[in-house]
Amino acid sequence: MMQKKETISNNQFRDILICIMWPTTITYGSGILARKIGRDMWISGIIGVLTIIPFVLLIIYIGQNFPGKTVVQYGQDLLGRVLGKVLGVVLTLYFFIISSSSILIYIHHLTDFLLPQTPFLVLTALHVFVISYLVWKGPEVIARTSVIAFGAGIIFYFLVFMASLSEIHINRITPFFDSGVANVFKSSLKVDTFIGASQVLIAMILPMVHDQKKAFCSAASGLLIGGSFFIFYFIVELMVMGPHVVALMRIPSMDFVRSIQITEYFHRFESFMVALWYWSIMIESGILATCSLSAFMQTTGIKKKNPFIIIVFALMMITLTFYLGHNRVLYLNLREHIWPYFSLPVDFGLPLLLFLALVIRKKLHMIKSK
Amino acid sequence: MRKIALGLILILSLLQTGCWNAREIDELAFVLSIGLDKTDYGFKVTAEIASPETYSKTPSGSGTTQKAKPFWIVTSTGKTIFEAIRNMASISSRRIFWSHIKVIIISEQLARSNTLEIFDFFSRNPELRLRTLIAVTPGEAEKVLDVVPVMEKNPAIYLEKIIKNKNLTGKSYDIMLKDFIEDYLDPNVGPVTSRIIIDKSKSQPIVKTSGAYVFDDNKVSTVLTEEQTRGLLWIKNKINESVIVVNCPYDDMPVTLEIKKSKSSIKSYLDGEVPHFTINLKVDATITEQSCLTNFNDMEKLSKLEKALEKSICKDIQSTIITAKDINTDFPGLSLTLHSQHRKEWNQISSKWDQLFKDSKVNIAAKVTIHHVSLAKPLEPIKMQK
Amino acid sequence: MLNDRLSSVKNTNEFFQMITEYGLPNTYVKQESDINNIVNELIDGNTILLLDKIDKVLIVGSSGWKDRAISEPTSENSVRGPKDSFTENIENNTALIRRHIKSPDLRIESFKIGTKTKTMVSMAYLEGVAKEEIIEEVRERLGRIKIDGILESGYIEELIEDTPLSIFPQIEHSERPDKISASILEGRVAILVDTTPYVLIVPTIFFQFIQSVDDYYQRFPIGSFARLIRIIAYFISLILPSMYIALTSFHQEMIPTTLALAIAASREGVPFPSIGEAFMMEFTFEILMEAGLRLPKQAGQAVSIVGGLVIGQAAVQAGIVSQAMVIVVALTGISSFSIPAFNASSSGRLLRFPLMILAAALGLPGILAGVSIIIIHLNSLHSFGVSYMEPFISADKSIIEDPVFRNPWWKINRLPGYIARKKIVREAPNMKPGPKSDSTEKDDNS
Repeated sequence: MMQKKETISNNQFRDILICIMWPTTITYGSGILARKIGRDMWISGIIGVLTIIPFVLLIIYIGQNFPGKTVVQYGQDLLGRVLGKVLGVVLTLYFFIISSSSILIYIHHLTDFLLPQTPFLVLTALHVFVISYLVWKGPEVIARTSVIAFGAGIIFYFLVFMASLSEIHINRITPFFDSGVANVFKSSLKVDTFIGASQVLIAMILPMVHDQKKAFCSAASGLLIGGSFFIFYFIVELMVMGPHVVALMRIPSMDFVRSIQITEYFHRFESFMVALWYWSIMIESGILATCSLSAFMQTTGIKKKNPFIIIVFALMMITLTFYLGHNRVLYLNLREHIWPYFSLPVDFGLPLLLFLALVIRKKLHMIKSK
Repeated sequence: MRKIALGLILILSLLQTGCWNAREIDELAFVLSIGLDKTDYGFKVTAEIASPETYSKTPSGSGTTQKAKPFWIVTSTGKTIFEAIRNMASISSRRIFWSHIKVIIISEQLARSNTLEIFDFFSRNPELRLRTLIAVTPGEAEKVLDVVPVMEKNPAIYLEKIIKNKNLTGKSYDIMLKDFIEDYLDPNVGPVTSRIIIDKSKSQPIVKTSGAYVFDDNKVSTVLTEEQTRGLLWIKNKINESVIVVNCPYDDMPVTLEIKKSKSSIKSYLDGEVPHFTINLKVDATITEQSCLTNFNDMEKLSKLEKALEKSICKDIQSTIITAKDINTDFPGLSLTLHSQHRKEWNQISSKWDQLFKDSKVNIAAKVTIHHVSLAKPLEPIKMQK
Repeated sequence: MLNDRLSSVKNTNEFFQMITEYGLPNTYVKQESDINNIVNELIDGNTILLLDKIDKVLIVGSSGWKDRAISEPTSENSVRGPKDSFTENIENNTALIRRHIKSPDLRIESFKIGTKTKTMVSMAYLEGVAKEEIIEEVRERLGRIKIDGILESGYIEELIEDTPLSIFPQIEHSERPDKISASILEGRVAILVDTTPYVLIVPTIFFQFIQSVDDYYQRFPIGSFARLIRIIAYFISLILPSMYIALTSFHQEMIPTTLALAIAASREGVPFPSIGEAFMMEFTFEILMEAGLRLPKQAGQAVSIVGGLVIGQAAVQAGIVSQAMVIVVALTGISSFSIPAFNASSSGRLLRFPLMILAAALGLPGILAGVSIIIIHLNSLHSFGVSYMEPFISADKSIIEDPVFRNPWWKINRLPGYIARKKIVREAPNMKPGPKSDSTEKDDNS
């Protein structure tokens, strides 16, 4: 049989990054941000995206020093065996929790708005099955499906734009910097709790990118395009609904999509919008679950994927999703107040830590070779 | 092989207890509008449900009966709104389905007491849409929904269309739930809703729109007359195609002017702690009917007419502002303009807005251009030669 | 002349040698002594000449089969284009291909597959254009087949596919010589099988099933439009019944109010839930289609009248199904016929049933989960090393080019890079035609 090393093209790499930027941010993110700073959530969004880009550059620079190895593998080279294994375990758990929380957001949409009487467990089991099928097939298939997700995202935003043209009031987003410049910068950190996973994700999938020289270009364009998607969404949402109503809702995007319509005959198309949004969230959960699985396999040294691991993985994900998501009050509190303390150190601390270790290592080499 | 088995197990388990959420379309009751009234114990909810038989195009097996009412009215009571709605299930054989609702009508008596519960229910319910129109009526909401409309099959569709026709009359207001709640949550702005009355002067009662209601805090406080409503529409830049009658400057006979385009902008500045507002209006109008014999193709006479229109507009807006100051509710939304144009000062004085609003000064500057007269000279009958 | 030679022969061996070289000039003559080969040659239709006192035999080529005249293709019609089709004789088929491609680079390698049938199977490819890996892979897979008989190219197709358990076909087949020649020119490998007119083409991508030869012979806007219609038709045949079930049973809010009331009115008095009606009507349609394939031609008219008018109309009048359901089923059926390849449209028809079950259980999210499983599966298929969903997945502008919109012939100057070797130029640049310009040196006519 013909076997090739797994590669994803640069355009697919960019599409994967776009897919992890916008789906969760526009649902829970817009409510959380509106409660924190109201009208200026789109400015926080811009600042948040721009903050990540230098860290992405850092991670790509570090990763290209160890060609063909993911962060778990070269973490053991850089930080020593023990710390490297600790890093592997931390990353496994981190990716697992984010992936579970992403699929959870989709299931919340279903059980709260579209299919209220269906049991939580059934929907969870079905969608974790789809995700584990994706993980079984591997990152190449995920990369190919992300092209479709990008297309679906473009159609989504086009429809949102067309439908809300008749309802926008510019005066709902003025004045700019309403809550004070310092507050706006502080809440850009909240944005980074949603999109910050991209740094660590790039660290895991960088070896598979086909053209390594242009990797930074694709990554940056992916982040910027994905960022512009959700910033555009914030702006339109504020202009149609106003900051007070957005702050009132738990998932403002559903109410937003319900309150816009294209002509008299195509109204209440929220299920259709959920169908377009679903592709991106499936890619996001899929690629994060793949990273979690590969981090696990690389930490423990297992080489081949066998079905038993996937089944155990899926069962654990169903359990975690059920316990996190069944109680919506618990999940909202966790996401809004407690999660930033976990995700920000990993997102921002990891690149800095690795960079420091690399610099120290290079200096030691230089001293040794003298 | 294992994958196929796993897939089959999952799929078959989905069908085990039946389809949880499936509802056949012919067992739903499509509620198109809802009326809320106050009773001694709580609320009375009236739902107006569309009857599908009137929409079927093919003749069914049985012969057609006499012309039945094309809608059904279901009423029930309860201590809270949601309880009243659930109590409807004891008299409705079809499941109440809210997703197609068009208008919400609240009776004035209910709106003058605490309305917090109503809007809380409507914001939480996922089946409703925030695009529903809101209206308040002076009498009982149940009576409004029971009137068989003249032109449409369904009172809800009729109500929705006449409320949206505010463009053409310029004397009533329309607002969607999402805009209403946005103003409701803002402590400085007072929301405004449409007003529906039943005109009992003819043999058949007719439902019509006229004026608006202003909410203060969460209760209705005043009724706006038609002129005051028009002033409000001018300020909020919502006048589109409506029609204004002014008196001709030379004869005192009426001239009808249609507004083609209007644009309003509000500028504000703070003098010490007293806010000053200037409302600038730029209006394009055409003459559609005149009873006086002045030839308005003459530029001088036309400018006199323009001034007359400007005066009429200013009068309307002044009466609105005076009403707002009287009841001390900022329903024109002037606080939003001050906030967006002078952010720093606003943060300091926003707590004293109620007092400041009474003292604020509002100037109105309107500029009207009449650019189309339609006839080259007035329709003056040629006197017969004696 | 034979007499002169005869007179110079001295003994039996020389006589044998003379007959081998000069005796039968109009056909090939071989000497053979292995009994197995002799028997095989006899079964192949050749003549064995035995001479007394010689221990070798002469094999005289004399095989000639009666076969059908070249006629019109039965399953792939086209409005414009050549109207010949392959026949059951592999020599005829090879000759038809050689008439299109007269280059000496066209290589044909033959195998005999099947222990009892010893069917001749040939590989045809263009040396220097097709990728070496693909040619090697085809040779290897054909070589490993061990089976008692090959009666049709469908046997070979199932024995050499990449993912035999998938519903989607990974190898295309055709009975038109122009289609096969076009594929060979693009760098694909054609597999011809004796006793069947259907020739296999590898490697295959999904979008080939949406294309038909007509697209390339008609003008490019017509061709592009026809392809777009076919893609939409494929989606309709896959998801329309499930969307109907999902919208009317779960998501009634998405239907405009007047339409929802009209559908509710048409369903008054129908005893079955919409899921039940959908399944019943779809099965009836499948039975009708199968019956239509088997009936003799004279009775075909009666079937269409009975099926369409009587069953549909009468069922509605009797109140067993609603009118909207009949429209949905009819539209689905017609859409599934507009796809040129029967195997691909069957995949759509089969997959429609699991999607209906998912739609009945969970509504639109169920359809989404089903469609995403299908797309993940499609994305993971390969056909001889080429990914099945090329070029749609390479995420650059080639998505819009060949699969959906056909570039005009003056613009197709490179071969698809995922199939042929890279950078093979097939057309000279500047082939766009135009009227002669005024100056006599420049001549833009192609």
